[in-house]
Amino acid sequence: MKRKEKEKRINMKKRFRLVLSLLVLCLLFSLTGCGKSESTTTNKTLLVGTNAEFPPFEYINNDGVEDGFDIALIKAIGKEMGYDVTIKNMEFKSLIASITTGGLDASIAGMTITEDRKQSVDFSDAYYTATQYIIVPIDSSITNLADLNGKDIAVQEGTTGDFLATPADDNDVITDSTTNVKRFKKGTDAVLELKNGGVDAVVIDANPAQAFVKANKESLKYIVEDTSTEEYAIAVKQGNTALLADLNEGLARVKANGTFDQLVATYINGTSTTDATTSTNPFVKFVDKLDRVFVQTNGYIRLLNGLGITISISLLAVLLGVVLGFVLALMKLSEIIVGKKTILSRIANIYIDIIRGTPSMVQLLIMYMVVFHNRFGFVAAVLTFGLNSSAYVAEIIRAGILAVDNGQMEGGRSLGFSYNETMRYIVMPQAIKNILPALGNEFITLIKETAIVGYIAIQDLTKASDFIISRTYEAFYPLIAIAIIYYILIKILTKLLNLFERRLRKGDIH
Amino acid sequence: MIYINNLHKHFGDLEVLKGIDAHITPGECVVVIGPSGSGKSTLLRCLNRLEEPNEGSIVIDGIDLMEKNTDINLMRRDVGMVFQQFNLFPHLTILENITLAPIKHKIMSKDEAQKIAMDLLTRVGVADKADNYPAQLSGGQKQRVAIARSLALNPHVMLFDEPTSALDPEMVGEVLDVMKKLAEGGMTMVVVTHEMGFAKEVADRVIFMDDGMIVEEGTPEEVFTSPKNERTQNFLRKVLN
Repeated sequence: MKRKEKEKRINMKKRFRLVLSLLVLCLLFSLTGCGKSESTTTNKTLLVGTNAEFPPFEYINNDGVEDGFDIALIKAIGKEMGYDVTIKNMEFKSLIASITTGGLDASIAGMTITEDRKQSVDFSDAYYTATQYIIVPIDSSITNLADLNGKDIAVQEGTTGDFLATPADDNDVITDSTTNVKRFKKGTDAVLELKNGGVDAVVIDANPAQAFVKANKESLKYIVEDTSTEEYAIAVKQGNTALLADLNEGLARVKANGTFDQLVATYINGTSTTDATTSTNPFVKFVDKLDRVFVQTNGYIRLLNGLGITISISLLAVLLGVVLGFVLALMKLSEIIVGKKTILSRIANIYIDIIRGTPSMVQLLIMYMVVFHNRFGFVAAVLTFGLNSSAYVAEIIRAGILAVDNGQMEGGRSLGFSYNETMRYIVMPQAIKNILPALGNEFITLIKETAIVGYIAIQDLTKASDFIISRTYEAFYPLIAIAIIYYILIKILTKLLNLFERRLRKGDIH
Repeated sequence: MIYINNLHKHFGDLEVLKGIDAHITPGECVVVIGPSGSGKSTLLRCLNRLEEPNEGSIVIDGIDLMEKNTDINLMRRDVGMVFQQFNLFPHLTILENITLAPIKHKIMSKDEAQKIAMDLLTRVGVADKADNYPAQLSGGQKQRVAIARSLALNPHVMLFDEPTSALDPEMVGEVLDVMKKLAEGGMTMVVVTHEMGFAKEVADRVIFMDDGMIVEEGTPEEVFTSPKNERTQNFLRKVLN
C-alpha cells in the first residue's frame, strides 16, 4: 500500500483548496449555469453522491476524507470498470434530487430500494441487505416496533427508519397519530437526542445502531426489528442503462474476486469506535475526554481548518458585499441627484427588498442547489453571503454618504469641482469615517451567519464540531469549543475595529 | 461685468425671485440687504448656479451662465463663494483646504499652491494654523480661511452669503476687516449681510430686497439716510434701532 503517498496527496489537496476556490471564483465569471468542466482523461468520470453521516457505510475519517464501506465499494467497482470516481458529500435527502437534475451521476449512501424512490431513480442490484434496529435506553420496557405507538421517536430524516416510524405512511406498524417523530439530519444527532432523554427510541439501520450502542453500552441497547428487510443499492438517473449495466457488472466482479468480502470484514464486522475511559479520577477523566474528543479524532485539525474556511468565506463575502453594496448605494443615491425615482434606484430598491426579505439559509440553498447544481459549494457560499451582505452594506454606505453635511457638496462645487470630483475628494473621504466602523460590524455579523454553510457540506467551523460529535458521540465539548473560538475571533475583531475607529477619529474634534 | 436680467426662481409654488434686474460693474462692492425670506441669499446662490434659476439670464464676463454649452465648473472658478457655515473640509488641514482646488484643477504645482496658500493665510491672519484641522479653529478663523480658500483660485468676483451670521459677536469684526481690505483692493464683491455698519462704510452700492424683488438701490447715503420706499424705511427702522 502506498499509504504515505496517498496521505501526502490529500494534504496537498487541502492546502490548495483555498487557492483553488479563489481560482474557481475567478473562473466563475466565464461560466454559465451548470458548467461542464470535468477533465477529459481516458477514464470515464463518475460523480457519486453520499451522506457521510452513516457509519460504517459512510463517514468522514480522521483525515477528513469520506470513507466507509460504500465509499470503498464504489471505488472498487470504479477501478474494475475504468471509472474515475469522485465522492461528493451532501445531505441525504438531496441525493435523489441531485441525480434527477444531473448534478450527480449516481449515489451510494446506504440507500434502501423502495417503490417511492423507484419513481425517481433506477437502482442497481442490491449490494447489501440490512434490517432496522430500535435503540432504546438500557432500562426501557420497549420490546418491538408496535410498542413505539404514541411514543417520541428520533430518526434520521428521509431514511427507512423515518418512513417506518411515521404514522401517516401506508402498511405501518405504528398507526397512533400522537406518535411524535423528531427528524434529524444525522443518525448521530438522533442518538444524542435519545441519550439526553428527548425521545424514547431511535429507529435506524442495523449497522450504525450496533456502532452507536457499542460506544454507549452503559446507557443504550438495541432491539432487532425483523419485520422489514431492506436492500441497499446504488441509485442512478432513470434510463441511464449504460451506467447501470457497468455498475452491476462491476459489483458482480468485485463480489466474484473476493474484494467484497474483504470490505465487509474491514468496514462492517471490524467496526470499532473508541471506548469511554474507565478511570474514576475526575481530572484524568476530563483530560482523557479532551484527548478523545479533540486529539484522537484529529478534531483540532478539523477545527483549525474549519476556522480558516469560516474566515475565508466571511472575508471574501464582505469584500464582494462592499463592491456590490457601493454600486447599489450609488444606484439608490441617483434618485437624490435626479430629484425623483430612477430606473437604477428602483432596481436597487427591489433587490435590497428581496434580499432583506428572505432568510439567508434559503438564499444559500437556492444558490447551491438551483444555480450551481450542487457544485462549487465554497463559491456558492461566498456568492450568497456576498450578495446578502451587499444589501445591508448598500444601506450603510448610503447612510454614510447622506450623513455628510450638504454644505460640503456646495463648498466643493463652488470651487469648480464637478459632482464626481466633489464626491471623490470631499464627500467620500468623510463618508468613509461613518462607513468603516459599520462595515466592520457587518463583517462580524457575517462571520456568525456563515455558521449555516454546513448545510451545503462545507467544512466550516460549525461543521467541524458536527464532525467531532459524529465521531465521539460527545456534543458538549465540541460545541463549547467552537462557541469559544467564535467568541475569541469576534472579540479580537471588535478590539481591532475599536482601535481603527479611534485612529480615524484622531484630529477630528467636533 | 455681471448682468442680471429678469431673474425668476421658485421652489414649488413659492416664488422666491420675481424678476430681478441688476448690473454690477468691475471693482464694485454691492451689499444686498433685506428681511429674511426676501430672496437675497437665493439671488446670490443663483449667481454661481448653486440654485438653478427658472427664468431670466445671468451674464458674467460676457459668458451667459444659463447657456447650455457653458461649463459651469470652469465658470465657478472665477466666482468665489463664502458661506454662512464656512463649509471648510474637516478631513483636510487648513493648508490642504486652500491648495486642494488649485492642485486638482492643475492650475499650479503643489509647491506653488502651498506658497500662494501661505501668502493668503498671512493676509487673512491665520498663517500659524496652516497645519491644524478646521475643528481646531474658532469661527472667525474658519471664515477667514474660507475667504482665503476662495481667493486661491484668483476669482474675478467674490460672493458672500451672510458671512458673519454664524459667528460669535466678538469675531465679526475680524472677518469684516478682511472683507473691507478685499474691497479696498478692488475686488468685485456681492455681499448679503445684516451688518449695516459694513454696508454703510464699505459698500459702493446698497440694494434693498423685499418679497423677491429689488425695492430700492443706491449709494449707502441715499439708502440709509433718505430711503424713498416705505418698506425700506420700515426695515431700516427695525434694524438700526
